[in-house]
Amino acid sequence: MKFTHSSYLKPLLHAAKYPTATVNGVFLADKNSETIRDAVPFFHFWHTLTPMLEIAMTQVDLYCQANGLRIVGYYEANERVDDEALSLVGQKIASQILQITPDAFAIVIKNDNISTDNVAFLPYQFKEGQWRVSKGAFTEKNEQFSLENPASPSLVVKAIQDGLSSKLADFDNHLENVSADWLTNKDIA
Amino acid sequence: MVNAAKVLQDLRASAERKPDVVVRLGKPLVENGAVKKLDADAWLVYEQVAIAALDVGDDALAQRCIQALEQKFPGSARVRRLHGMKLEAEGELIQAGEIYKAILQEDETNILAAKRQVMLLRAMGLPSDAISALVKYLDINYTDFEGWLQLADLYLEQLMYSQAAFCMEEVIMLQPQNHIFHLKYAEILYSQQSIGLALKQFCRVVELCKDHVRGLYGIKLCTSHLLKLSPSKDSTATSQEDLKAIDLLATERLIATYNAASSSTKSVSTKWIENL
Repeated sequence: MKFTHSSYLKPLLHAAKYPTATVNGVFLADKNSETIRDAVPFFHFWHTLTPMLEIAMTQVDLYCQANGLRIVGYYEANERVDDEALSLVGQKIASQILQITPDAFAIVIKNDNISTDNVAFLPYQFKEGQWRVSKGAFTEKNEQFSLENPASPSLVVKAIQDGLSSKLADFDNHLENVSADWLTNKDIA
Repeated sequence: MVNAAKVLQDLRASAERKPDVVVRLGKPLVENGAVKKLDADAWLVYEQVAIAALDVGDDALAQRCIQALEQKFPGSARVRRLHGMKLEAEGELIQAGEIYKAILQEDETNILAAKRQVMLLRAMGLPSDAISALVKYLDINYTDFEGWLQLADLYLEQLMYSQAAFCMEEVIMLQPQNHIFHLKYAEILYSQQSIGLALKQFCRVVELCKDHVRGLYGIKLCTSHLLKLSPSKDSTATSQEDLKAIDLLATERLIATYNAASSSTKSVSTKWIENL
């Protein structure tokens, strides 16, 4: 799994935009490829309730069908800064994705790393019946999880300082103002 | 300077949490001493700026405000609570907890300290302790709808939907006109598969707030589920004809909303709305 800059940037802007809330969303990859093309931010209001999640998921699915993409992963940034566990809801959503995508993964954002040059993604994979942290991810020799552009973390720090996070729209924003483009976030990419 | 004081006052009145704005406006007032010209309001500004400074991590500014307050009101529980919050910001959670505990030992009914204690337990990752502290608090302060909301959130984190629904019923009894509370209640009901009841609450949202997009989406979701089931024998359930009419109306309003806005995601959204 190789993350493009845009797929690394958007989840972190999402977390930076709502520092006191749990935020979540999904990752999209090309149909027949391991490259993570993009990320779609979902919620910051509340993340434990299912109706809007059902709608977001099916709309993303329609978007994927029209654009040759597939849903491959889930991300969340927890409300508490030092909380790096995949939440109960996160496990449920990731397991749902796993049913259609055998190589599905989940990312918990390491809040402490967002404004540093270190990678702020903590990947989880489903092994031996439960979601476990994938060890050694984003290190030099790791082929399972890597960044397309090694400069992504420092570029994100700059983007957050420049206030780019205020331009990011998630599905909660879209439901308040339907012209907010949560699927592609064109203003950012 | 007069304007800054006015903005700060408005923010206090509306209880909005905009720490960046408060610090930007309040820091110069505190540093050049102009704040003292505000008479009685000065102490409220100190408190407001102290909390905002903790939010944005300006510890020196917070310290300065808290010190000024401590000199004016030595031993005050309200100021000691601020001190506790500063310890929380510094990561000294146990020491902060000691302060809140001491305040509550002197005065069980101290609302600010009781609320901080709940949030502290939550921050320490002890959700069940936070829940029992909050339940104890709500036993005394049962008209505090924000407390009930907080309790609903704590239950939701544990995916305890029916307990969360109960809390939202309390909230709606206290604040029946706020559509957001009906919305949250509707989404909780849907999450626990009470789709018929959820539909009624989503309708209430749209009734209180015309063309509320999230409410309309909720209605669509419920009607499409209910129409797929065989007609209910329960006489209180919404009839098939009514469901179809509600569904049609929600579809029409959603499409109209998307047509009115220049939405770049319109093709996906309308496809969803029309084919559900």
